[in-house]
Formats: sequence, structure tokens, C-alpha cells
Amino acid sequence: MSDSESPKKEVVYRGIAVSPGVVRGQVYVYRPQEVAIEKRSVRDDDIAGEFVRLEQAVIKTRQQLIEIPQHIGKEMGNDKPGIFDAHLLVLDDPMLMEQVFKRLKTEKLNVEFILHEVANKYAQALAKLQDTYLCERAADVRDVSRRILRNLAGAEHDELQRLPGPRIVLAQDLSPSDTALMDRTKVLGFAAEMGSRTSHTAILARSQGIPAVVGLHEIGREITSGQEALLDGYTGLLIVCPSQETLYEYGQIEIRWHSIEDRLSSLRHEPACTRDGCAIRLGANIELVEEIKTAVEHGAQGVGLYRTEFLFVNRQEFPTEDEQVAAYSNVARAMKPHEVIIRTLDAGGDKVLRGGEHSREANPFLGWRGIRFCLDQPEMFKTQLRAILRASAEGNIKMMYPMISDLQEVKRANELLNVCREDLRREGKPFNEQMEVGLMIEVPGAAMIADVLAEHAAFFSIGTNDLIQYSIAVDRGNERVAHLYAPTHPAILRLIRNVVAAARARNIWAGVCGEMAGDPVMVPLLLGLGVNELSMSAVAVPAVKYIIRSMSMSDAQALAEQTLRCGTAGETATQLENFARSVAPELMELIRPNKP
Amino acid sequence: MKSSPIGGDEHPRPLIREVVVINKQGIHARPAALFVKTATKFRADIGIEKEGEVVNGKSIIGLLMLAAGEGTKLTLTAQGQDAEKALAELSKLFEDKFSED
Repeated sequence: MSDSESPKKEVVYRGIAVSPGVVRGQVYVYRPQEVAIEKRSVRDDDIAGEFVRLEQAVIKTRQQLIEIPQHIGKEMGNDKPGIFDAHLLVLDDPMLMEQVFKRLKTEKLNVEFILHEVANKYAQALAKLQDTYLCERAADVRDVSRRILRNLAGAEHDELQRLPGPRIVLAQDLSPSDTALMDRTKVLGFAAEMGSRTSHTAILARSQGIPAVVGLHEIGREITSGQEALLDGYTGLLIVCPSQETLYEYGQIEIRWHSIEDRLSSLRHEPACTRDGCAIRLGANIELVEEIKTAVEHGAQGVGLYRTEFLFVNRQEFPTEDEQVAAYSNVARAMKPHEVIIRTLDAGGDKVLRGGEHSREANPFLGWRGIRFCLDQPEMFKTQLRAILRASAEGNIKMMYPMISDLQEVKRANELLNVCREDLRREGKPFNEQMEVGLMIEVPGAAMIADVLAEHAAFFSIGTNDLIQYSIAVDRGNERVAHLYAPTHPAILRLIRNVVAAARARNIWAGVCGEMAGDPVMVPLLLGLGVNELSMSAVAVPAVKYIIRSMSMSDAQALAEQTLRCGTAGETATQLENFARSVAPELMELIRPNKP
Repeated sequence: MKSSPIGGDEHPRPLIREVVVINKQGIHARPAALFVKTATKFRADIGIEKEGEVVNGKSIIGLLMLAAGEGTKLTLTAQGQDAEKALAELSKLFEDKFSED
């Protein structure tokens, strides 16, 4: 940590909000200490001793790698996080150990130095192979060698188990081995330099209800342990040395939240019904069965998007059919009689699998992802389809395919599904013959041919995040163009209108499961456009329900008509804000406090 | 240590088998792990050679570092009592495209 004068001025860092909540406290900069590696010669007599030391360290390491997953398994309801399988493979790798033994004999240097050298050499060679998967193997080799080195040095692995007090933990990234033994009661929040919504930190934080912000690029150097900070997991901010004004502002927000929270939570069991009697289904987007509890507490009436990537990431092999059946059935049973819409594996883009065979692509968002990835691996895909079908016997399950861009994909996926149905019938395994199968509409091309697709779907679910970025050609992660990303762009309104019209014509329903669905300002527009279902992160449900109960459908329809005539995203946004302010002023004061 | 019923030769000549990678994704994560798992079932020493570079067939790092893509010709070697069985099973993995595609 660089110098003595720590900045007293407020500094705001912007990242990706991955787990909601606001916390304030001291920062703890977690930087797993690299053990200092000294180089020293070893006398001939002592070489045998070096072998023994290495062997003992390896035994201890193996023991840790076996014990940690059991510990995490209990915490996360997943019996075997695959990353440690990869670590064990590296630890037991004959090539690594043979090299260490050989060089130990010939060079007569201490085992720490040689292990470090050999591991580095392999890690560098793997990292050079220009492949996402292999780069991660390089990280495994480094992780394992670091673990052995720490055991050789008798160093601690469990820094996070002994936090000096309640802290906001700031790290470059947190791996399962970092967080395995961490003391949850002392972790106020997570701030990570790397990561995305699906990284380990994000998933862990959400399942534990710990606020978290990731993607805070290279901030570690500028912040020191002990500095005061405010972490905003709603908007994705880390504010270091917050000023009196900022604290006051957040304090006010908190007071107002508390005052309205009572009102919102009293709505929990009320239907999401407009003043003129139109009911809308509100679902939650979830990844883990643990999130069901939060979803129900916040008044969600189902799961509108169950992401299945979690089962596939961080492991060597694809999950087995039985493992998947267990996971899906758990969610279905927990939500019964409400619906659970399972999205088939949506890998690729920013959601790269560890165990899969993704190579680095120039344009991952235009590449091998979603349904394309699955159709190319029919065996893997069929395993998932069979698992979903079998779980459909356990509750109200629906299923949808992600990233559809073409009718042919729908037909091929449904053919595979039919094969699975046939097989299950023959095997006498029960499933729901009437399970609804829908399509995610997130590619503009699919939105334009919604009339064609509707003939082959039981419903549409519009994934607005991707739909927006593909339609306006904006990468939200690119700071230079991020401001162009606008849900209120006239093109988006027209695409949604088109999808809803196509659904109506075929008498199927259309929902929205992107972030737009969880924004109370956007919701009147979506309802006015004719959307039948909204699915959002669980914490957004109360505010969305509140605004739905404050407005009437006829006003929403008029609003939609009016905004469809707007020429710019800004104009639409203004009209939507004005509408929301007029029907739910007290809610708007909370979520958009700075506007007059 | 069990001795082989025929002769009990501890160090027979290495057996050699040529294989071609025909699965689209090449020897990546899953295939490499499958190969190593299969290879470690046998007592024989297993080697894989690609263009003169030889790696230990029981090493996941070694296998990954070969970066053998679709169409790559590899030479498998096995030396030990169960070498023949090992080669048969291992080359079958290649023929079966590692249960992919």
C-alpha cells in the first residue's frame, strides 16, 4: 500500500451492482499474501528432507482441497463445487511433480523456489495458449502452487475467517477457496475488481443477502484497509471517504425506504392488480434455490426466469441428468403451485463456462452462445431437456430457449425435445405432457419475425437487456458508448409492440424478464404495450407491485400510444417519469430523489 | 506386485498407436480430463506425442499444453503389463470423439 497520506476526499467508484443493499463501514483490502520465495542451496544430505517437506505440504493441500468443498457444499446447497476437482487434478499431476523432483535432484535448491519456478513455467505456457478455458487452468496451477507454498511456509489461508470487525471486503476477485471459511457475520459487503453477475462473488453474495459490487477495475491500489466507505449494491457504487452530504443523502434515502418499506411489505400478499382491475403476473429471476425464500418474501408469484448456468460453471464435467433433476425439482416444489420458467443453458457471451469448450471469440455476444451452443452439443442439451421434463412432474414448470434468432433453431430444439419425451415415455418416467415451451426474444431479428415464431411457442419472454444492446448496437460495458444504452429508445418500444401483437394474434402470452421489468418507471409502459407477465430480481417486486396498484390500465395504454410517437429516448423517458410521478409520487421520491 | 502370466516381463517394448483428433473442439477440458482419468486406470506408462513433443499421458497439464485441435495426428505410446488394453481403450476415446459432437 503506497503512501502515508490517504485521500480524505470522497471518491466514487462505479462498478456492476450484483447484490442489492447499502452498507457503510471500514474497508478491508483482502490481498492473499504471496509468500516470499527465497532461493537457497541445499546440501546433498538435506535433499531428502526437502522431498519430505514437499510431500507433507502436498498431503496437507490435498486434505484442504477435499475439505473445503464439503464446507462450501453445506453453505451453498451444492454438494461439489467443481473448481476443487480441477485443483485436485493439478495437484496430482505427474508432470508437475516429476519436474519438481527432477530439478530438486539436479539443481539442489530449496523446494519452494523450484516449485514456484515450475508452476510459473506451466502457468505461463497455458496462459499463452489464447483460450479462455486454458487461461483459467493457468490460474488453477498458480492457485494450487500458492496453496502448497503457503503450507510449506506454515502460513494461514483463513484471513477472512479472522476479520478484525465488520468490514466491507475489497478484493481483486474472490475464489471459493477464499470465501470458504470466511466469517459471514463480519462481512458487510463485497467489492471486487473483477467479475460479472455470474461470478462466484456475485452468486455467493446474492445467496447470502450480502450487498456486492463487482467490476470495479483496478481500484485496489488506491484504497487502503481501514478507510471508511459506503457500498451501494443497488446502483453499483463504492464511495470511499463519503462526504457528510453523501452520508446525509443516503441516510435520508434509508429513512424514506424504511417508511415506505412497511407499506410495500404489506402488499406482499396483495395481487399485482391495476386500479381498473387488470392483473399482471409478477415473477422473480433466480439462480439458486436459496433465492426462492427472498422471492416469496418480496411477494413474487412465481419464477419468471430460472437461470441454469450456475449448475454448469466452475466444473470439469457437465452436470448429470439426476443432478439437474434434483436442482430443478427443488425449485419447482418450493414454488408450487406457482410457475417456474426454466431457461435452458445460456452459455457464451459474458457467461463463459469453465468446463465447456469455449474458445476465445472476437465477438462473443455475436458468437457461439445460448441455443446455438446447445444445439451443437445435442447430448449435453438432451440431458438438460430430459432433466427439465422429469422435473415437470414435480411442480408447475415451463421452459424456454434463450437467444433464438431463427425459426430453424426452434424446430431443431423442439425435435430434440420430442426425442426426449419419446424416450421418457418408453422408460416409463413421468413428466408433464402439457409443459409449456416458450422462446426468449432478445435478438432484434427474432422480435421482427415474432409472428412466425409464435406458431411454435407457448409464450414469449422478452429479454430486454440483450434486446437493447443488440438493437442499438451498444456494449454497456464500454464507458464511451454506455450512455447510448436506452431502454426507452423508440426502436425498443416498437420491437416490444411487435412481439406482443404477434403473441396476441396467436393467443399466447408475452412477458418481459430483463431489467426493464424491474424498473417501476418502465412498468406502466410495458403494461400499456400489452405485456402479460413481468419477471425481475426479487427485491424489485414490491416497488413494481406498488406502481401497478397505483395506476390504471387505460392510462397505461394511453401512455404507450403517446410514447410510441416520441422521436428520442429522452422524450420517452421524460413522459414515463412524469407519468410515474403523477401516479406514485411518494415512490418516485425514493427511487429518483434528485429530480424536481 | 502381480506378475504377468505370460513371461512376467516387467519392461516390455512400448506399444505404439497413431490416432487423429476428430472431435470438433479438439483436446480441451473435458476430453483431456477423460483421457487422463482413463490413462490413470492403467499401470502402464502412457505417453502422447505431437510433432516430436512428448508428454505424460497421465498429466492434465501436459495434455492441455499440447493444444491438439481437430485434425491433429498424435502418437500414443504405452509401456507396461496392461499396455495393450490401455492403448485399446485410449484410442477408442478418439474414435468415439470423446462422446462429443
